[in-house]
Amino acid sequence: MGSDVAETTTSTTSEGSRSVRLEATNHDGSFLGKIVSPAKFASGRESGFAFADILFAIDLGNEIVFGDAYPDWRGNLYDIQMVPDLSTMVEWRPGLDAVIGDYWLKDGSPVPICPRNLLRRLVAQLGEHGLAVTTAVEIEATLFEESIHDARLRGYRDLTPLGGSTGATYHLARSGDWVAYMEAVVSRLDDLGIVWEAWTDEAAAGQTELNLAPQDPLVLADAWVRTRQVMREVAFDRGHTVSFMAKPTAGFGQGAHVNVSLSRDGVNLFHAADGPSELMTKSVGGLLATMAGATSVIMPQITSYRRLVDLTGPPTTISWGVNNKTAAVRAIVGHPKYSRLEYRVPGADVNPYLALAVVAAGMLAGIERDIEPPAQVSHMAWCLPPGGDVPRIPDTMSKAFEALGSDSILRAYLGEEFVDFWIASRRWEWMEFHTKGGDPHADLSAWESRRYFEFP
Amino acid sequence: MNQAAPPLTSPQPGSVRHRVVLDDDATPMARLIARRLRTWCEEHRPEPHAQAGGWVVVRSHDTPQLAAIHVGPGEWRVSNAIPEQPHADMTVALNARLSPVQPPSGNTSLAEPLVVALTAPPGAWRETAAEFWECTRDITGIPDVLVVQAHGSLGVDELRLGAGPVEYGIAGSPDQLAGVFSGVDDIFTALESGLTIKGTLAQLSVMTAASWRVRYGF
Repeated sequence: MGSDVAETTTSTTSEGSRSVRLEATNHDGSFLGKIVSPAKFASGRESGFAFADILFAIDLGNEIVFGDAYPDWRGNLYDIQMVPDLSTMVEWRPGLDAVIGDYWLKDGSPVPICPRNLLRRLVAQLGEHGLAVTTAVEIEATLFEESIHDARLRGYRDLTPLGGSTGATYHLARSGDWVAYMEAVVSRLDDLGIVWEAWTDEAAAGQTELNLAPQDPLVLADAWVRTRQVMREVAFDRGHTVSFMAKPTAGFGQGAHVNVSLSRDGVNLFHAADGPSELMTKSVGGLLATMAGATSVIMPQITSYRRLVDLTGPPTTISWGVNNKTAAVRAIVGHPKYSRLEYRVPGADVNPYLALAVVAAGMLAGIERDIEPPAQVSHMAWCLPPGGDVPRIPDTMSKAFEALGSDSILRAYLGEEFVDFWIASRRWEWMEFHTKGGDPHADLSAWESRRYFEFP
Repeated sequence: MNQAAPPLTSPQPGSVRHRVVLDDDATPMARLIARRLRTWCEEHRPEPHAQAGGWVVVRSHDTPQLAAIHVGPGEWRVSNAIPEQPHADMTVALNARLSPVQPPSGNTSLAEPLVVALTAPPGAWRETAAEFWECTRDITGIPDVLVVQAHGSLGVDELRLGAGPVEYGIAGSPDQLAGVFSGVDDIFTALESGLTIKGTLAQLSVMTAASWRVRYGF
């Protein structure tokens, strides 16, 4: 290694680093990247690292996604550049550094369907209104006693929930293996500088909820994808298994509620003395106006839609209400510190960057287009009679991508290219499910377990 | 709300059209069945029958896919919803032109006309190619020119459809070409059995969309 390279390397990587992991998500939210030597990292940290464009066209079954018109930047496996964001560099473990990046074209423009770039753009658009976005997430995951090797042998079925199989939610008496797992996870998060607030026993046997602290959306999404990776690694190290499937068993599902507020100069603009502020109201208007189409993005997989069962926790209607956890958007009001919206639709299997991007897009639309929300639901938002004023959330992947296709607001804010790409990718996924062995009439088909249990 | 098929034929004086109705949010299999039934109705203009109605369940022989067809007076209704007690049952090979893998069971008088309609062979390759081209012109990214080569017993026969600088080539036996262009066959299954193409990866992606248009009606 030449002295110049060595000097550059030591200025960005940690002492003793023997390799650097480049990290980013593709559209599905899969955590993708490659491991490079410190010298290679030094040579490409500004110009970027070549990745084949196919990373945005490989499905979770390793098939090439077909069915759409490629934009000019895609071709016969062209290269795109992954440029690391050095502010995300961490020592992942001794000897291994990690850095998150974005995908760029050779002309220096962002890849239009790059999830992280998309979120950055929308947060910046809110910034143009003088608004700072603060977001937090409740990550739900289910832990199983078996190792991932055993889980694979079993086709990810009939696994044993870690911590016991009886009733759940807030139980402190979970067995020590479950507690030890979560303590190991948060210890790793502390080491990585990922700020967490709480973890608890959740509704399904073996299920946990881990809350990341309120922060800038890009920082949160980075922390979210890394937290998933930490949880997978800790599970592997301890001989257990973790899954972020929307429904890893035929029982309870799991979501990823996003909490969000807008502020200016440190003042929470969602707070008002007498209930939702005007800005909160407009944000709700935009979030509800875009919810049907957004569902395609925030419930990305076939199994995502199996969560949508009345009376089981997830929202099933396009609705909002003050302190109403049966609605899709819960407004928390009355305190300048805590006033916020809880967007309860995303599944645990969502791409974190895209989850926050559609929330930002909805709020932007509500603010810029002065969208008034429908009347809030003050009663229970589940089990409502059909034909009323409160529509249901699209309950199949095909209904959702059709809704996205006809959503002119999301087309404007997420971009035509992203929306067309996304619809094509979901149609492909829907076709794969139906024609390659998935069973829509099953509670949870083996095809889904094989495809979604380990990723994202 | 259901999606009624567009008019299949010009109404004949004194006659009533036989309709094919597809339920909302239909699965690929239901869409495929509806497409095949509609095509058959267009070509054969069946007289509406007055027999008592009933449900026929159609199952895929190698995947969990299934759909149901309600046979009623003047109408075939294709549905994802499966009745608990169908009147007839049939199992077909979806990638072998819906051919039954065993004789239908139950009320075969309901099922047998469906078998005839579902397994009707595609038309001649030139006609199906022209219809395919016409049906898919509005798909974003579709090439300017489709060059079709049929490799038959008498040699190679070529058809060029469209005009412009961007060409896409597809070649195969007359039956393979007719199968893909009519939507009777899946394009990837056809590629595995000898159909060849010449174009970019991007063009194959668009041609996939086009093949889905004629096979499933997207």
